Amino acid sequence: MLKKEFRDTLKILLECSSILLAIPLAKILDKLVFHQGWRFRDVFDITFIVILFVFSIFSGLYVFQSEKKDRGFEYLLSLPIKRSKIIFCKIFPRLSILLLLLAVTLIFSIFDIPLQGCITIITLQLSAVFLTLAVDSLIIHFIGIFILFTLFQLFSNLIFYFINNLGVFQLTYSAFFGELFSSLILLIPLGISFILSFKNFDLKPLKFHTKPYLFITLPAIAIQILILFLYNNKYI
Amino acid sequence: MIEIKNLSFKFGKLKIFNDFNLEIPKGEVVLITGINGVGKTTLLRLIAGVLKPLKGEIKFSDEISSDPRRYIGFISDKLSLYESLTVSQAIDFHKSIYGISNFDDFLIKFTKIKKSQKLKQLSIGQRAIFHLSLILSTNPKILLIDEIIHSIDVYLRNIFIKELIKLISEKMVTLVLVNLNFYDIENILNRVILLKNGEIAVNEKIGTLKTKVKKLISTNSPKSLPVISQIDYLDHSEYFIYPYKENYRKQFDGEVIDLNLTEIVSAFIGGEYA
Repeated sequence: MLKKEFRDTLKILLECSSILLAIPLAKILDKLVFHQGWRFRDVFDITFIVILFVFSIFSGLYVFQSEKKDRGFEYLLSLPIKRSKIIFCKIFPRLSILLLLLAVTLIFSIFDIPLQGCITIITLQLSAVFLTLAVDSLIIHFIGIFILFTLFQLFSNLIFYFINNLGVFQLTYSAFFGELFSSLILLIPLGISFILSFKNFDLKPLKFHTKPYLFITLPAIAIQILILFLYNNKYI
Repeated sequence: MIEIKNLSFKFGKLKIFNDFNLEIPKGEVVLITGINGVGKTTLLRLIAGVLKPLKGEIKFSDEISSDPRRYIGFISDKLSLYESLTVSQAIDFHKSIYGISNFDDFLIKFTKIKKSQKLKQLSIGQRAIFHLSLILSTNPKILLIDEIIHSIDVYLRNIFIKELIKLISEKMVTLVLVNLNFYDIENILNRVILLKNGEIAVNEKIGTLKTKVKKLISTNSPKSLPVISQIDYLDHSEYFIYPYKENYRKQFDGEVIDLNLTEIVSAFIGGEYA
């Protein structure tokens, strides 16, 4: 099963890699239209970051895509595989290929602040993975991801300011902890909802499996939004 | 053996089963039938572990109870498999899940399936045979087949049914079929279970059932007899009686006719629509 999941994930990566075609296109456009003297390295860095973002979202949201597209859910659920193994086989290839890509960004110093960039991308992918069981529509999934990503960024800024005001850590460490704590605050309720939903998952329509999201994820997100609102209005 | 105890299941507010009980002895060939939407496919999916019961339990004999899904082969009505895989990849995938090293491809040779073909390129019959050969490679103790046999062309259907007969006679496999068409499978069946409103309306050995259900042709209505359905014509009516007893002949003026399985089930189903 792991082999199949690696194959599926690499297929998504290959599709996302088509964004690399933007590099020669940008160079040509610069030469003919913009005349900004864009360096190959600059265009490559931006393109690679876009690939990372797109890959992390797509590979995450498409966790059960092959089952939906291939009508293989009934077959998968009838096989003697534990649910925990299915989750592992689905997440491990996605995360390991993403980590490999992140290693490339670290080697070539593509991110300005490497560790924070990595946390953001990993958070984005895991959020997408955990959201895959929540709703049936891909558009709502994408909207959901962007809402969660915005919330994550706002919340990490808030934690950063809080830690920085303590005056214990250097600026970069405060920012790192801000990202780390914010990702945990987002991923823990989402992850619990995902695991609880998948533990009882069967062939019933998706709407019968979303109780954990309604009772865990939604209140957690509402609390985060409330905290941001109170902070923004200087109540805290 | 499959033992279903106090099983309850529903889709949202729609109740399918409530305190449902059923026992299927080892090695029996059972037909589950009933009108559309009565829960035949749901019952098969519950036994296969594809759906989870709301309440109650499904028990299996000791030899397979540790990991029932390892010993249950399930061919769904949608022939669910990973369609984008090639035949060869699907075989490897199945082998890796069940931890088996050998795959006997004698069955797929009959069907002219090429190993490089994608599953979505196969016909329904070829996919059914391929799915069966995947299941056979795992030595199942229970085989569940949902309404697929009559979607297969005559040539492949014969191959499919021959394999089922071999499986039943040589390996004592318990076979549970959901079907609405019985012509080809009547000879291999032991038992018929008819579902009605989420409950068992009939659960009889096929021989017993044939002696218990009869058609009476008459011009008079047999009001005292247990009529399950009737068909009215201009000059006479046909009454389907269950359970039929020999002494009814004395009480009733008309002709008594034996029925085949298709006619028996039609009589029960006709009664539900009446």
